[in-house]
Amino acid sequence: MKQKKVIALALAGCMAVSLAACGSGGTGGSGGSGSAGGTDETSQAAAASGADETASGEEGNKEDITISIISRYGSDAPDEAFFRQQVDQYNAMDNGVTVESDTITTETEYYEKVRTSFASGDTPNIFLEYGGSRTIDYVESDAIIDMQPYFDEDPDWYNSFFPSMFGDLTYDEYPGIWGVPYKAYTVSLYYNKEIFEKNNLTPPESWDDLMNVCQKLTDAGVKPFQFGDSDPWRFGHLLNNMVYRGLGTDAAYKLADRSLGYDSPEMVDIFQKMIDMIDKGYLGTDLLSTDYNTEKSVFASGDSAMFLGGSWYIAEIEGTEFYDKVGVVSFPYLDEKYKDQAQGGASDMWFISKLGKSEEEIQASVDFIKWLTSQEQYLAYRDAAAAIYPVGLEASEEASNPLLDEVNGLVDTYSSMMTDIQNVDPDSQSMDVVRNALQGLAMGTSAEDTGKSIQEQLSPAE
Amino acid sequence: MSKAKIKNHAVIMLFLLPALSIFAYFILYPVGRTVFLSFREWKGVYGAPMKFVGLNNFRQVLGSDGFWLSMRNSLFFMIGGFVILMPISFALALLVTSKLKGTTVMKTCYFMPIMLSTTAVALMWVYMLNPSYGVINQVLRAVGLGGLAKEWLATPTVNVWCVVLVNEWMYAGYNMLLFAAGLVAIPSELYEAAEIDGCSGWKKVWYLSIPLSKESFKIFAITCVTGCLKVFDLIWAMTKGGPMHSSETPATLLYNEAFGYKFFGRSSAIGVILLIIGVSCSLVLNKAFQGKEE
Repeated sequence: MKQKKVIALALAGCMAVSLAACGSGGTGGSGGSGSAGGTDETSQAAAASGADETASGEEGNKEDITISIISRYGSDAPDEAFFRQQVDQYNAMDNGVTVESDTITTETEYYEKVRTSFASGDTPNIFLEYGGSRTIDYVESDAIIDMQPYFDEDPDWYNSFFPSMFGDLTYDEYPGIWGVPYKAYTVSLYYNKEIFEKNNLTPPESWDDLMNVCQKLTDAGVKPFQFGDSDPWRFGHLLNNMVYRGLGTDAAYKLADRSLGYDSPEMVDIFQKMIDMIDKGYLGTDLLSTDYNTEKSVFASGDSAMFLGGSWYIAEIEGTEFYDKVGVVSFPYLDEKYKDQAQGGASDMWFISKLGKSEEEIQASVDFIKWLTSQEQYLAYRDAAAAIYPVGLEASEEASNPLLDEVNGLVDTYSSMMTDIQNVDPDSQSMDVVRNALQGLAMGTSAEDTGKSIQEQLSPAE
Repeated sequence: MSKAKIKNHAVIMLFLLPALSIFAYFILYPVGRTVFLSFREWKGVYGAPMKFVGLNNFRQVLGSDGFWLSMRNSLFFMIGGFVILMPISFALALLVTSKLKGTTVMKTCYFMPIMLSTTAVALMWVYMLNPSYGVINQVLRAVGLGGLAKEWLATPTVNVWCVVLVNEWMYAGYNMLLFAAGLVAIPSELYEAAEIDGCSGWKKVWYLSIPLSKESFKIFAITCVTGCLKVFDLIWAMTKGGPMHSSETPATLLYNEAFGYKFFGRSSAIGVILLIIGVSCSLVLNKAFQGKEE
C-alpha cells in the first residue's frame, strides 16, 4: 500500500514537473520575447516601455545577440532574392549579431502574422510595413522605436534619403520619424507593345483615350486588362490612380479630414467609372476569383494588353523575353489639370519594435537597418535589381535598363506623388474598409451605395 | 474526516492537478480574458491600455448587419448539416454495417476525405470551382450548360453553399462512423424479432435503426450545431470570408475584426456571444433529447 502511494506521488510529481517545464519554454535565444508571460497591465506597460529587464545578465552579452526580421521578400524576384542575400551577407560578417529572417509573401497573411505578434507581445525585432495609417496604432501604443535620435546622430544617413520618402513615417500628433524607408515606387500603366502595334493603337494619355483603346481592344477580342481583385489592393491601386489623376493628390488629405466624402459626387463619379469599366469587360473576367499573380501571368502571356503596376514589376520581368514587349506610360489623367500627379513614394519601410526588446537588441536592429540602407548596399541593390530607390545614387556606368529609365522619366514629370490614399487617413481601418468595399463594385453594388458604405464605416472627422 | 481519507484526497488532488492546470490555463484563462476584453476597447498592441467601454462592443456587434449575415451563413451550415450531411452519413452507415460485400473498401473510401488536411481539401475545391479553368465550369460548358457557369466562390450566398457542400463532402465519412457505431450496438435479436413480426426492409430502418440510434443523432445534433457556429477553417481556406464579407461566419468575422481591423474588444464580444449561443444550444438540445427519452 505504502509502495503504491510512493509511486503515485512520484508520478504526480513527474507530471507536475513536466507541466512546469512546458510552461517555462519560449524565452530562449536572445531573450527578446522574455517578458511576454506577464499578464497584469503593469507588466505589460513595463514591456511596452522598451525595457531593460531582458538586457541584464547573460542575455546582455552582445556577442550572443540574435535579432529577427519579418518581411514579404520570399519570392524569386531579383530584389527579394537580393534582400535574402543581404541577410546572409550580414550574418557572414560575424559581428556578434545574427539576423533571423522570416518571409511571408502574400499581403493578407503577412499582416495577420505581424498583427498577431503585436497582440501577443512576441514581435520580431524588425518588421516591414508601409507607414501612414497602417502603422499609427503601433506609434500610438508606443510599440515602435522613434528613429529621429538615430537620424540626428548620423545626419549623412538621414540626408542620403530623398526628403519625400519620410512622408508616411511622420505624424503631426506624434513628433518623430517612426521608421526607415527601404524602397520607393511609382505606379504606371504597362502595355504590350506588340498588341498595341497589331491593333494600330497608341498608349492612352487621357481617360477618353483609355476608353477608346479599351473599346477597340475589346472589339478585336483582346482583354484590355485582367484585374485580380481577389487581392483587394488591386482595385485600391486603381482607385488611387483615378483619384490622383482626376482630383489631385490633395484629395487624399481631403478624404482623410472628411472635407471630401467617399459618398461625394466626385468620388461617386469615380466609382461609377470603375463600374462602367467592369460592366464593359474592360477590367477582365472573374475579377474576384483572380489574384494578382494570375493577373500578371495573363498580361505576360499576351492575353491582356495593359497592366497597372508598381515599378517593382520591372525587376520581375527583367531578363525575360517579355521585357522587350513591354512599354510604360503614366496612368491616363481624368482631368488634365492633374496630369503631373501620380501614385508613388516610399513603399517598403522598416520599423523596429520595442515590445519586450532589450537596449542591445534595439541597437543591433538599428545597426542592421543602417547597414541595409547604406549607399554601398543600395549600389549593390542597383546591380542586382531594377528599381526606384529612396536614396540618391551616383550615376551607373552599367548598361541602362530602358523600361526603368522610362519610369524614371515619368517620375521626373510629376510635381506631386502620393502613396495609398488611406495612408494619410487617421482611421487605421480605412485601407481595409475601402478595399473591401471596392470588391462590391464587381458584385453589383452601385457607386452611391459603395461611397455611402465606406463613409459610414469610417470614423467621423475630429 | 479520518487521516487516511485526507491523504487519499490529497493523492487524488495531486493526480488531478496537472489536468486541472491545463484546463485552467488553456480553457478557463482564455475564456476569462475574452470576457474581460469584450468590455474593453483595445487596438491589439501588447501593453497598450485597454479602455473600459461597458456593453458598447456588444451593442455594436448585435447592431451590425455583418454579424447577422455571418449568423445567417452559420445557419446555412446547420441546414446543410441536418438536411444533407445527416441523411447521407446515416445512409452510408447503414451501407457499411450491412451484409453487403466490400464494406471495408467502402468504409475506407468514405472516410478518406476526413483524412486529408482541411487546407488540401479547400485548395482542391477552390481549383475545381475556379471560374476560368475549374472542372465544374468546364463540364457545364462542355454539356451546353455554360449559362450556369459562374464565379462560384465570388457570388454572394452561392459561395457559402459551395463551402457548405464541400463541408458535407468532407465530414460525411466521419459522421458515418458515428452512426455506424450506434448501429452495430443494436442487438441483432431485435432485428430477428422484428423480422418474425413481419417487419422487413425499410420498416426495420424506420422502426428499429432510427429510434435506437437516438444517442448517435443526439451527438450529431450537438456537434453539428456547435461546429457550425464556430466553423472557420474551411471557409477561411476557401474564401477568407469574402468577397466583401459575403461569406463571413461568426468565427471568421471574429478573426477579421481582431486581425484585420484590430478591433480586439469587438472581436472578443463576438467570441462571448458565440460561447453563450453555443452553450445554450447544447443545453437545449440535450434537454430536448432527454425529454423524448423520458
